[in-house]
Amino acid sequence: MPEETNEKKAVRQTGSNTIVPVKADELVEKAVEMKKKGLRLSQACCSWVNNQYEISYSFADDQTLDYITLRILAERTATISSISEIYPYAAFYENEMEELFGLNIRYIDLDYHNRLYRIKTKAPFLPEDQREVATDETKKISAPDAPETQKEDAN
Amino acid sequence: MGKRSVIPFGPQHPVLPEPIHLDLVVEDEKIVEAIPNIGFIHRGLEGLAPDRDFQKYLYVVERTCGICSFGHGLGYVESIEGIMNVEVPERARYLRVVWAEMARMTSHLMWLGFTADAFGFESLFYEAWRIREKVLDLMEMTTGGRLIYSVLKVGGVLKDITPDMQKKILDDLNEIEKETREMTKTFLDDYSVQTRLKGVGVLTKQQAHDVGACGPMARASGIACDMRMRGYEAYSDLGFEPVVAQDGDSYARCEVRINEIFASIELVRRAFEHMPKEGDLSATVKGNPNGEYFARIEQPRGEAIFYSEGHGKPNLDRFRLRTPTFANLQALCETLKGAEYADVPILILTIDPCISCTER
Amino acid sequence: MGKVKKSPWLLHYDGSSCNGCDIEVLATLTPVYDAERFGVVNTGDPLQADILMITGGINQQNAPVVKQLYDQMPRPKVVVAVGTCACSGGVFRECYNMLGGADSTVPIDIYVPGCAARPESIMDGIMKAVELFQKRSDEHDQYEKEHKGEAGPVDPNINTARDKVKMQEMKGAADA
Repeated sequence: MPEETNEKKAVRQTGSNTIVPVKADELVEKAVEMKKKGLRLSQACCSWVNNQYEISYSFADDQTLDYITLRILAERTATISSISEIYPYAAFYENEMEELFGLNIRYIDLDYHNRLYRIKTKAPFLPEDQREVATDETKKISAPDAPETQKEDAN
Repeated sequence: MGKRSVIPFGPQHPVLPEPIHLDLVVEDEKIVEAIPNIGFIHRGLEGLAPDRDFQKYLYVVERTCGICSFGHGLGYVESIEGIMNVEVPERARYLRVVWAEMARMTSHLMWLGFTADAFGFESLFYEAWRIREKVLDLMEMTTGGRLIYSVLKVGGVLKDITPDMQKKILDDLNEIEKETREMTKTFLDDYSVQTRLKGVGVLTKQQAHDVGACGPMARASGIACDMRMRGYEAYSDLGFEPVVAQDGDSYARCEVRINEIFASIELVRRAFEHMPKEGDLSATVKGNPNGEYFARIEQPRGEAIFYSEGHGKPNLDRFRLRTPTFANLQALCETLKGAEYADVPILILTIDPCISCTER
Repeated sequence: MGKVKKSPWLLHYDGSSCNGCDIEVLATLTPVYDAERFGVVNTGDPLQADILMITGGINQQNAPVVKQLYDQMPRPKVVVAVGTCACSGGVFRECYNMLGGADSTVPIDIYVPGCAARPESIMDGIMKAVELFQKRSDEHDQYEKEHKGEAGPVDPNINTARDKVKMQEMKGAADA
């Protein structure tokens, strides 16, 4: 598969910065590979470009300072398997992607069910016409309720 | 097995500078689990990227957080410069290092004040902030702002440091170093501080790696990883070594941050020595960003990732900011397991939380 | 209530602020600017506070929290909005999660502009708030003295005696 390099030509910096395209069903296997190499999950994000999702999972090597990003292109109705069984802290990133982008991710370890930020707008980063597309029934996005009054901890 | 109850902590609490809500599952005074509930400061500023010109969007990104403001601006311009392959002039790179290190000093001094206040050491809180005001005076003299600086632009910097300002900075830094050494020696040698911090919230090296901790949290557990080792801006010429401790408890995290203050003072001195005496302050930038780039810099709280994606329009298509506290939240929940209820404020402050960065 | 302006108690709450204004509020209480020489005490307890300082705009999550803090403070009270984000929403006004400045949830008395607001402006805002608080406290005492012994329903939407009278006037004008 062709690799894109993004090395900054201006200042010489240690550590490479590469983006590797993968398919959605290869994601979990690649994550296990990264874990065996001792890499740390650095961030996971998503964007909506050209009518499809571009999902990035980035792994950082703390010894060589390399940075490898796995890039997945997915349709609006696609379902991605979570890697939170392998990297437990991926749960926060995946919950955020689910809530802000309406992306379907299944088997998240600590699932907030679209209540991580509790915002009123459904999938605010998607264009208006895409927000209502019916997705996998078991993970149907329901509009969050009005936020409950938080009991404050008066000392 | 004792009785379990859930105690809500936050969002408004005297010791917390920012609203964060934690649901603490407590069994007989010991915490079993902590579930964070964030979202109070969520403004959604990443959603403004498609609506703003990429040069003006810098001002929005800077205001993600008032404490780490310079770092955010720096990461953003680095990501745009990476896409457009802009070469920043040498003097501008050294100036950026000077300001970044001074911003780091203000952040750590502020953090020291909060931590001391959390267990009642108020006079140290006032002393640390008094010293911090001196550094803020230097920042105001050179940039015009105390917290939000706005001296950056894509391709360079907007202001210069004259030789008079440089002399004043170096003289004041000598004084600041002397006072900080006295103050931190009192803090670290004090018996009550040691009792409350030593052995509390231990994170071993393996645990720190497994939860994905970054920044001083990871360095206090023995992982020697600092983004400044990558040599972005002018760090490759300054002989930088990361500050590491081995114990992994709250005391070690305090030591790491305090030693980083002195390391920053040293970096500023070296930067002034190596800086070219004259030079351009910025490179011209033509056209619009077309491509994507991941920029990684070291904020006072850890590793921050800036991802920009543009397709030839003046507005970016996507901007993503992953801040260090987002990565350290899981580490916080890990240190809270098995902790006493009275230690919760200290543990929250030792990860140096910046919730407005986390939620953007 | 005597000379309450000798010792006002502040409650500071951060609602979606970037922290710049919060740090400046705390810096106002530290040795260089030192608002504490005027008797100002920073408390964490809304039930004992006189002046509420809000930084940052209001978003959907913290609107009920701010309302609850405002309701918990005993009357008379003064609210100060510190920073451009609290005054009107600031640079984030058009974000999808923001409802606007602090005046979308609670009534504001004093606006302190700036991004981040400087400690000198915040001190000025605190001084004006204290004057206003003394004035309201005196009006409240006067009203209580005039209407001594009257039992009446306590309306939580009325901040001071002056508002009570004003609301009755408005009601009278509406009925007429």
